[in-house]
Amino acid sequence: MYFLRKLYPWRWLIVGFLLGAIILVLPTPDGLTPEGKRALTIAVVATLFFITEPIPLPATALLIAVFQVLLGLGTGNEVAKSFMSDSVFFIMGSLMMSVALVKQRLDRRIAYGILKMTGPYVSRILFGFAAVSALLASFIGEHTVAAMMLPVALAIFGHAQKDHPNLKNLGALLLFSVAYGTVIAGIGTPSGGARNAIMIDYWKQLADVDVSYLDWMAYAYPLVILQIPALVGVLMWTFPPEVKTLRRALVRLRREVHSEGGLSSKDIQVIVLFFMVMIGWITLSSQIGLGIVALIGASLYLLLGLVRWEDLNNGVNWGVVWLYAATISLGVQMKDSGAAEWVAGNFLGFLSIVGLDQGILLLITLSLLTVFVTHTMSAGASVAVLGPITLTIAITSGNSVLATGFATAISSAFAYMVVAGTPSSAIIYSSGHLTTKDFLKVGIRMVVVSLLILWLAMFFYWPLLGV
Amino acid sequence: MFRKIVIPVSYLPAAKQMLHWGAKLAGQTHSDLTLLYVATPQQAGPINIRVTHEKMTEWGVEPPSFRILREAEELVKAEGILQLDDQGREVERHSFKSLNEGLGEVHLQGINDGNIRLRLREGPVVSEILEEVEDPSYDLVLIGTRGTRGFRRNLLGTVAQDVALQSPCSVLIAKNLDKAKAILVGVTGRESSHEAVRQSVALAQALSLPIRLLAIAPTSESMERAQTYLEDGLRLVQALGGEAELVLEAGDPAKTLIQTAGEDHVLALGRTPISLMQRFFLGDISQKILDKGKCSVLIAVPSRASDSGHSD
Repeated sequence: MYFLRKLYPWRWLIVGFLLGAIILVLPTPDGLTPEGKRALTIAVVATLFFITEPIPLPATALLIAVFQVLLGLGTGNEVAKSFMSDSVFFIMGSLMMSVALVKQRLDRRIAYGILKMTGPYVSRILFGFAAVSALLASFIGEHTVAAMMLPVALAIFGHAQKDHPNLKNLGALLLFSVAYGTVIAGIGTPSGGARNAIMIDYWKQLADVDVSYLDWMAYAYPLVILQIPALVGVLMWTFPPEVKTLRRALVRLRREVHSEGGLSSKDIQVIVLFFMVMIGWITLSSQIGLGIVALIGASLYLLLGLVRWEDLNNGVNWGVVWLYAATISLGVQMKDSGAAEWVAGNFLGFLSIVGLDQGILLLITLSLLTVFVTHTMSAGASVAVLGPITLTIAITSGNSVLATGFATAISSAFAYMVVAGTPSSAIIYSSGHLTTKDFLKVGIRMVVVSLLILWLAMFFYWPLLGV
Repeated sequence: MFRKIVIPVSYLPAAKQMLHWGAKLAGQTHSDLTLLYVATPQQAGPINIRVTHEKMTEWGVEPPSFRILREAEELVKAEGILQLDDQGREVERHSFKSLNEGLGEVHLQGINDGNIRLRLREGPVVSEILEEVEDPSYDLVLIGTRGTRGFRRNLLGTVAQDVALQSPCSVLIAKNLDKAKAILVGVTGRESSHEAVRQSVALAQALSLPIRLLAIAPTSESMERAQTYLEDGLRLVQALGGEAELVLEAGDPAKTLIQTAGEDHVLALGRTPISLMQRFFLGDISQKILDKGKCSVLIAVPSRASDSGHSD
C-alpha cells in the first residue's frame, strides 16, 4: 500500500510518458505523416499534462521545446524561433503594464467613482462593479482588474459585516461581480486576455488573415455589453442578497477613501500612458505589431520611473509567458506537420455523419467543445490546443475562418464553473470567502447565458459584418 | 525534554484542542512554540497572487492565512503563555510581516522567556512542514488529522501520516485528544522504545496524565521476554521521576496496540529504524496504527540538538 502511496503523485506523469511512447510505436495511420504523428504525440501528452498538472505548467512548456527537438521536428534554433513572436511580446508587454497599473493606488479612485455613481442599493452597486470591472478588463486584462478590485469588494463586504454579521450571499455577489465582470469582458479586445493574442497569431500563421485591434472590438465588444446586465441578473438570481442597501457601510468606506485626496501626478501619468498605448494598439499595430506597442508602453513605465523592474519581475508570472510561447509553437508545428489537418479531417468526418459540419451548427458545436475543454485547462492553453484544429476545420470545410476563430477564442473564456477556470476566479477564491460549490452553482447559469449571447451574435450580428 | 514544538494549523475548529494541549505543554516544559500555517499556492495566473495580497493589506483586508494564524494566536493567548504588556497586548520581539516569497513571521515573547512564533509558509503542505522541522532545534510536531475516508484515505494517507513517517523529530498526531486519560507506551526493548518512554514521561508530567507501559508477546514463548521489557521500561520511568502501570498482552502487535489504546489514550511508540526499501514496500507497525487507530499517537524520535538551553 505504501508503495502505491509513493507512486500516486507521479501517476499522471507515468501515464503521460507511457501514452506518448505507445502512440510513437503504433503504426502511423493513413493520411498522417510521420512528423505529424510525432507532433500529435507531443500535443496529446502536453494536453494531458495541462489537464492533470503532474508537473507545473511551465515545466510542460519546457518539455514541449525539448521534445520538438528530440523527436526531430526541428533544430534547436528553429524551435527557439517558433517560441517567440509578436503575440508573445504582446503577452509579456501587457502583463508588465498590468503589474505597473495594479501597483498604483488607482483602485481607491475607481472604488470612489463607482460608489459615487451607484448609491447605496445592492443591485446598483453590483451593476457598477460588474460594469466598471468589465470596461477596464476589456482593455487592461481580466486578471489585472480582478487583482485591483478584489480588495475593494472585500473592504465593502467587511464594512457591511460590521452592521450585519451573518451576511454570506452579499460576499459572493460582490466577489463574483468583480471576477465574472472581468471574465465576460476579457473577450472584448485583443488585450483582454492572452488567448486572444494566441488566436490573432494563429489567424496570421495558419490562414494568413490579419485581425486588427479595432476589427476584434467590432466583432466582440457588443457581446461584452450584452453580458453585463445578464451577469447581474444571474448573480441576483443565484445569491439573493440578505440586505437591500449598504448605506452605512458606504459612508464609512467613502470617508476612508476620500481622506486620501485627488489623483497624484504619478496616477495621471500612469493613466495617460495607458491611453497612449491603447491608441497605439488601435492605430499602429498593423505597422509595427501589437507586441511592439505593448513593449513601448512597458519600457516607458520603467523609463519614467512609474514602476520598478523588481516589481515587474516579481509580479508577472513568467511561467505563463513560457506556457503561451510553447503552446503557440506547438500549434504551428501541428499545422506544418499536417497533424492539425488530419485531426480536423477526422473530426469533420465524424461531424458530417451527424450533420453538424456546416455553418452555424458547426460553430455551435465548436463553441460547446471549447467550453468543455476550457473547464479542464486554462483558457490560453485551450485556444492554443484547439485553435489549429478549429481553424483547419474551417479552412477544409469552407466555413468562415474569422467566425470560427472568434467562436473558439470567445467561448474559451466561459470557464465559469471551476475555480481554476480563469485567473480572476482563482483570485477571488483566494479570499477564502467562497466554496467550489458556489462556482458550480452560479457558473453553470453563466455558461448557458454567455453561450446563448454568443450564438445570437453568430447568427444575427456577425453576418452584418460580412462574415 | 521538549524545547521547541511546532503546531501546523489549517482548520481551526479541529485544531482547538490541539492548540490547548500544545500551549499547555509549551508552558509547562518552557519550550518555544511555533504556530505554522501552510498556504497552498494559488493556481498560477498571469500575474502573481501576491500582488493581490499586497493590495488587500493596503485596504486593511486580511488574507485568509493571516486570519487563521491570528485566531490561533488568540487561542494560545487564552492559555496564558504569552507575555503581555501593561495594556494586555502581546510583546512582539520582532516581526517579519511579509508575504513575499511566501514566508512571513511574527515573533512573540512568551512567559518563561520562551518564544512564540506565528509563521507562514507557502507550498505543498507535507513538504513545507518537513522543511520547517529540518531545523534541528525542533523536537516535536503536534499535528491534527481529519478529512478523507475510505478508499482515498487508504490509498493516499493523510498529511499527518506523511509527516509522521518522514519527520526527523517526534510527531504527535492528535486524534480524540480531548478523550485522552492516560499515555500508553508500547515497549519493545529497543532503543527507539526507550526514547518513547522518555518522551512520554515528559509529556505525562507536563499534562498531569498517568503512564501505562504495554508489552506484547506475539507468541506464548516470548511472554517472559515481554515481561523483561516492561520491567526495564518501569525502571526508566522511575529514574525519570515518574510512575507507571504495567500491562502485558499476547497477540498481534498492531491489533493489540490499537485495541488496548482504544480512544482514551495517547499511544506512544518509538519509530522503528527500518530501511527505506522496507518501508517503501511494506510499511511498518506505526503506519498501520496511524491508519486504523482511534487515539492520538506519539511517534518518538530522538532529539537532534544538544541539550544546552533554548534555541532560537
